[in-house]
Amino acid sequence: MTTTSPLLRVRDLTKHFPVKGGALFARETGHVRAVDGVSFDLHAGEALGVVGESGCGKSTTGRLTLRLIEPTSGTVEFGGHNVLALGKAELRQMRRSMQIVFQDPQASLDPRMTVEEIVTEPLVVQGDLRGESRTKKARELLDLVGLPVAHISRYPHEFSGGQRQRIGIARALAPGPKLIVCDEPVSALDVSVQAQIVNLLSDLQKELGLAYLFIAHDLAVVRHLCQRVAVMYLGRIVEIGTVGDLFAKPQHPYTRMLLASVPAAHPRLRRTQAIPRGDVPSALNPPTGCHFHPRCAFATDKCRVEAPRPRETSPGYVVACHYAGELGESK
Amino acid sequence: MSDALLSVRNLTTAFAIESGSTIAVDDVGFDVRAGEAVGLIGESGSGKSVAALSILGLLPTPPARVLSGSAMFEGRDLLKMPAKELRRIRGKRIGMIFQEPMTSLNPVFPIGEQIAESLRLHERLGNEAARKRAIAMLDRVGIPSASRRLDDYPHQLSGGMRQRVMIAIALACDPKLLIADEPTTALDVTVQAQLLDLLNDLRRETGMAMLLITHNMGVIAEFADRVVVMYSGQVAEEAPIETLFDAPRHPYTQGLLGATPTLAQTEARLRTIPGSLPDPAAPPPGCRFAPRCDFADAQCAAGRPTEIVLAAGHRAACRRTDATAAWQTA
Repeated sequence: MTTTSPLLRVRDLTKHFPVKGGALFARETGHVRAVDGVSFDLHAGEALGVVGESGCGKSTTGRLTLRLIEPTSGTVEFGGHNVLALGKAELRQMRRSMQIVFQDPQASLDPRMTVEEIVTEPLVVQGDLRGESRTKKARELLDLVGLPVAHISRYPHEFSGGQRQRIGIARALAPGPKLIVCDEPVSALDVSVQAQIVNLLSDLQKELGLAYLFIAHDLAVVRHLCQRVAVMYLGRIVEIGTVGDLFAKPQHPYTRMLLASVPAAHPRLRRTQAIPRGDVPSALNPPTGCHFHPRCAFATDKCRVEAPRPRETSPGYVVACHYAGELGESK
Repeated sequence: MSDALLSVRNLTTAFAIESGSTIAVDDVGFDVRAGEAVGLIGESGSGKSVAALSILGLLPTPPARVLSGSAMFEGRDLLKMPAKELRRIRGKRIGMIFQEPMTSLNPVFPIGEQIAESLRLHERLGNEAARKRAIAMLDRVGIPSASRRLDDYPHQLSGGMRQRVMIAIALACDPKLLIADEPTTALDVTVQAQLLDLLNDLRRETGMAMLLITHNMGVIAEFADRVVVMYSGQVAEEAPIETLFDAPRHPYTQGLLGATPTLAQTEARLRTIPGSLPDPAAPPPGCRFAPRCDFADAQCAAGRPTEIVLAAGHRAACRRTDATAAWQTA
């Protein structure tokens, strides 16, 4: 681990969404703890993958980090500044350094704007670009993400899915960010195109020293692109560490189940162990104690009543399981 | 003729579009033998789903139209069969499951009723017998406390449970062939693994054949005995499963394997296929993969490549299979 202070420092981040019920959904009948006490550090130039299944809170964590939605509680520090205490103008200033790339480039690009307008819009909004310098900047950005500069006046519908994602990346790069939250940026793409975008993100990280908070459900993509990975389950981080350690020696039983579920890379490596039946429980009414205990082969009475606190099992490696380190090697 | 349960030959399907028509499936052929699991893999616009829907007579006509070909199933051509007879085979001799069970299940009927409907229609079972079989089927596909879930509506179930219900409906009449179109694509990875386990178990028990349509190399690796790779409406390569992964000969198959990230690989860069998928309305001339192919020469763009038989059960539509033989896994 580095000893320098992290670029991003997130502590006990929590988001409760109200749940409405009753006649015409007028009454608030409870809340969902979409994100339930999440803590992590992200260093400059580092890519941290956040993985987990639907409803685990990974996308909400990304949006909270950028304060695109307001947290219920917790702290987010970026470059030493408390992001949650910033006023409107300060926050806008801060957003130059913190950008986002969305899953669906089709839905996140304005169909009535040209590529030039789209990729430079962040700078125009920030008020430091107009006229010829705008075109020049747009050309630089297109070149950076591998799009033909000749296509600068085209509209989003004239591009393929992969090219549209390149436009989305160019737009995020425009203000010169230090951090990009990537929210499932390759999930909607075909494999042959996905690989190009994964390589592009990897190149940009090295060239520009970018940090990524890379939210994904595809573990293999995270294995390729990220240096560290956090596994989320029902709003909580259950395990976080370097990709080398976590993929080779997963400690949390959920991480093990998740990895065991990934389809084989070769027919000779077919899974031999059946995945135990059961769905992710509803976030509306999560299990007591450790959220994973109803699906866990190692669960004890303690797991049913007491939520495990995240603890460091080796420097920088954190697991939230009462029995971390005592469960033996995973098969 | 072959001993195939389903034998598709020269299947060509077109869609009417504003400016005329576009060929979505272009002279496609493959077999599924009894008890065999065949994977049909391809990316967007490859024609894999359209091919399956053409065989089942489930494409809206217009805009779709099957222009030519045959699909022999148990000695009869599905493509030339009157709609009424085809309906009798669909759901009875051939079961189907699709990607999104929420859109395939009827939201206003309890799930038990939807299984029983198929049994009453195809097997002429009475209400009580159909209900009993429905419970047995739900139990068989791993739905806990089946007799109590019978009266649940689809929205009360999770995505994985809904897909189990779809499998129960598809298998209720004990089909010889199950056609599964991206059955696990919308599901989380642990649920996907559970469903693949279930489908494998059911295959072993019933001896039914499966045609699994997917874009996912991992799902193919887990499941298929034999694989048909489609690109831009045509078959690029067909091979037994291990051959496909060990010694693929079509440059597109090789590219797909290289571009698929795996948990084992640690090298930083993925191999990529340059360019993007062809526009189905205006495919490139000659070999459709030629514009993205490292091996292509001037002749590749001149005409459609003929299929080369490389070994028993292994064929590739490529002029340069001599050059592609040197391929190695990463």
